[in-house]
Amino acid sequence: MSEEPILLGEHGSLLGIHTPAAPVGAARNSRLAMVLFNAGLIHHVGPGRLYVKLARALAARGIAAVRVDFSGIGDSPPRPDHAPAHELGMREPREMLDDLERRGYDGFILGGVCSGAKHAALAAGDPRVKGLVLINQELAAADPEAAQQVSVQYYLRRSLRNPRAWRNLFAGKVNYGALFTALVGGARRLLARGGRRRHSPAELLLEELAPALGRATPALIVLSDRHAEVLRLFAADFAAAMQHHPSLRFESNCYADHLFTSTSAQAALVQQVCEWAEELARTRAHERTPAVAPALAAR
Amino acid sequence: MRTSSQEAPLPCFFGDEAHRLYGCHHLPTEAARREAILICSATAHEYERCHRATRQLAVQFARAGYPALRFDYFGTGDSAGDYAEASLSRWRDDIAAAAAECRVRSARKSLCLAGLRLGATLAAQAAAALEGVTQLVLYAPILDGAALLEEWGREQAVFDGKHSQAIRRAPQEILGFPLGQSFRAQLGTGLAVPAPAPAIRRVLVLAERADEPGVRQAAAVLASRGAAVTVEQADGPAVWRSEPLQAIVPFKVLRRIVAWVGEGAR
Repeated sequence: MSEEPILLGEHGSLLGIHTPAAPVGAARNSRLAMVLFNAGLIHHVGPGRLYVKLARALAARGIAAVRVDFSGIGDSPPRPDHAPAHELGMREPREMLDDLERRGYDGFILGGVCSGAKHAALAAGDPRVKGLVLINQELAAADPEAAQQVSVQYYLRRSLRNPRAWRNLFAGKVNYGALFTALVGGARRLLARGGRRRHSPAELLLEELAPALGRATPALIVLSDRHAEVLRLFAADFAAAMQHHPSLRFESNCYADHLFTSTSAQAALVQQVCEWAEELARTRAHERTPAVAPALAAR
Repeated sequence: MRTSSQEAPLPCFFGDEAHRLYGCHHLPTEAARREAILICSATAHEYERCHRATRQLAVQFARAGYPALRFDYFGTGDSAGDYAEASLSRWRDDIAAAAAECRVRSARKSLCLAGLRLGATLAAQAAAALEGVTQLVLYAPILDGAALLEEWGREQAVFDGKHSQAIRRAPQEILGFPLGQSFRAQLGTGLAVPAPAPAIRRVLVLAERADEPGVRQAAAVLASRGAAVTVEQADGPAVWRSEPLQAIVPFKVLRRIVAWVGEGAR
């Protein structure tokens, strides 16, 4: 496998590591590349080297991958034009795709962990985006009530199962004030709105992904740790979302933390993403074959 | 006035095909000095936590006129291989390969090796067998492998305590990095700092605790062939213990390192 550094973007300053697809498998003619966006401030290697493992596993199955650094993160310097940060999340993915398209790719799976997933979702409106892999995106963040509910449920469930948490509770090693405020505050809010939600995280997600879902773009949404709690709490909403949009797939992993730290959690995730992407690439390669075949036959 | 694009590193892969290493070469933005800098990173989970600091160190050196190369060891970062296949001797060989690459890219004969944590210890070991190394910077070097394993074990325990939902992991894994028996044994016995090569004129040890017996002992060994050894307390946060998402940079320490190297320039 011969990886290479590439410089992308309007100023040629965005670093990417390109892992070309091995000439194997049904996906090899898909001209599809997965682009992996930074998880917060962690550089393009990904948390615990996750993106390196994922890129190499995808390439071995015939799908290219590029792990990138946004401006000012990892090995990419800050932009010379000093564009505001909130604009970069929209502009830089597009600039990256423009350059990768010039390299011969014509379809992209955008993905990432945490804020990387958010950036992938924000860029999903681009018609060149053929798939999304959103890992631990903050689904409840846009609705403070949902976020509060998820936090309370998550910490309660986590603490109830944790002997250390019980020991701390009885040994006076917890902030009783904060605990009381969180529990009573949550209950009060719930009573005040009569148990009805203003928004569901599923609704907010569908709204965010609307341009991509309108094109039936497949999306794999993997949730672990407290993010999996969102899926559990709003299970009915997410089930309805999948019914309306069969291209959406939700997976929860209760054995992994937010950054998929353990090697076994990483291996399971890599396997899951590879299988999903391979299926997508296979379909794409198959769809593309009739158009390519006559051209080849004419030569 | 420098622009950020002038400070963009030149990313590269080097080394033989089966063991390609990833590096970033930072070109000097001021009048160039005669010495080039090779930066040896921390390892395991500490590598990720220190990445931003390591990059900033290279940027600071480049601003001060030094070409600087930082790189990933085999099985880490973007370099080839799996972490489980790595060994201390393999990483010392990587430092030698990176030193050769640094010389070619910078067109300098004289090198300063600046290492962080385990990278500092490996730099001191590798430098003993390398030609042309004139200065050595050891930032929070690991001098006691058993203590390091205990510390990493405590970090894993804190992680386990935070995540009680039975996160599955291999028994000998530390925060996502496999640490087999062989590697543990190497850490337990293979971290002695050797007497430096005669060409090494100056050594800076920035220790977490400058008064520790292990630090004093290492300083004595490093001074045994006439090198001027400076031992100081590192005046900054222990970035290798912070969460990677925080991406902390200990600017005061980095500025001290660059200034110290400048003081020794011939």
